[in-house]
Amino acid sequence: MAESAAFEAACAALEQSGALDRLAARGTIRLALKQAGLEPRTATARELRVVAGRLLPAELAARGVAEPDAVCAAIAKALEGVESTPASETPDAVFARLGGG
Amino acid sequence: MQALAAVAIGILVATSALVAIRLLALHRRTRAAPELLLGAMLLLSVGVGYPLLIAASRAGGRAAGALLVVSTLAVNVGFSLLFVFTWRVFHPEARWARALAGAGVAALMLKALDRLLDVQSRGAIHVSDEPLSESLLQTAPVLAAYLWTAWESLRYHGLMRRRVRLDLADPAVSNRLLLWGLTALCVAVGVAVNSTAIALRVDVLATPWVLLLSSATGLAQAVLLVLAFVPPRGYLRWVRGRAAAAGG
Repeated sequence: MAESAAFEAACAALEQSGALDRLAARGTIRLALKQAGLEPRTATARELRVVAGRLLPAELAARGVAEPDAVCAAIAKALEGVESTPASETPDAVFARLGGG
Repeated sequence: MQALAAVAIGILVATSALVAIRLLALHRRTRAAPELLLGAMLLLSVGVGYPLLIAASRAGGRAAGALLVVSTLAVNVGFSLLFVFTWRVFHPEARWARALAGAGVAALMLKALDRLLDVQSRGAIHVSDEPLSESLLQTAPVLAAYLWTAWESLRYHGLMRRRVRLDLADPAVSNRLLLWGLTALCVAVGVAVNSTAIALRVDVLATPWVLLLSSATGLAQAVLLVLAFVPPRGYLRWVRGRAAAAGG
C-alpha cells in the first residue's frame, strides 16, 4: 500500500539532510509515527509536523544524529507545502461524524 | 427473571432503533456509506430481526415459519452489513479484509437460504429444534463479525490514545471507538451465551442463567450505544475534561 505524501516528504527531507541514509530515515520516521499512534499510509503533513517537533528529535539523538532539532526544523519546513488531508477517509473521521462531530 | 429479560430486550430494541434512525438521518445529509451501513445494520438486525425472532419462537403453525424466515433474513442481512462496515471503515484497501467480509456475507446469506428452504419443506420449525451443527452455521459468522469489529475498534482506540496525548486527536472520538469496541464484545458474549444454551438444549427464554446473562449484555449494549452514537453533552464534557486533566 502506498504511503502518504507527507510521509514521503518527511523521509526525503531527513535523507537530504545527510543525517541518515534512505532506509534508516524511513525506519526512524516509521518508529516515531508508531509512537504517536499514526500510520505512514494516512499520516498528514500537520501530524508529521507535530511528530517532527515532539518525538523525532529524541529518535534522531538516539541514532547519534548531530543537531537533531535543526534536522527536525528542516523536515517541518519541507512539510509546509504538502497537502494536509489524508488520501482516504480515516476511521477517526468516520467515528467523529457518527457521534455528531 | 423473564420480566427483567423482556425489559432488557425492549430497551435494547428501542435504543438500537433510535440510534439507527439517527444514523440514517445523518446519511441523508452526508450521503456517506458508513452511517448507512451501521444504521441499516442496527435497524434490521436488532430493531426488526430480534423482535420477530422472539415472536417466531412464541407463534405456532405456519406463522412461526414465516416469522422465522423474515427474522433470519433481517438479522443476516444486518450482520452482513456489519462485515461490510468493518471492512470499509478500517481496511478499505486490504484484500484480506475484503475476502473476510465477502466470506462472512456469503455464509450468512447461505444460512438464510438454508432456513428458507427448511421452512418450505418442513413447515413450522423453531430455532431451538435445529441440530447443533446448523445452529453453529448461524452463530459462527455472527460471532466472527462482532469479534472482528471489536478487535479493529479496540486496536484503533489504542492508536488514538497515543494521538490524544500529542493533541492530534479528539478524546471524545477515541472514547467512541472504545465504546463501539466494547459494544461489539458485549454482543459477542451474548451470542456465545445463547449458543451455549442452545448446545446444552436448554430453553433460552425460560432458563434463569441464560436470561440473566442475556439481560446484562443487552442492557450494557444499550448504554454503550447511546454513549457512543447519541452522547449526552455532559458525557462528552467529562471525557474531554478527563483527557485534559491527564495531560493529553
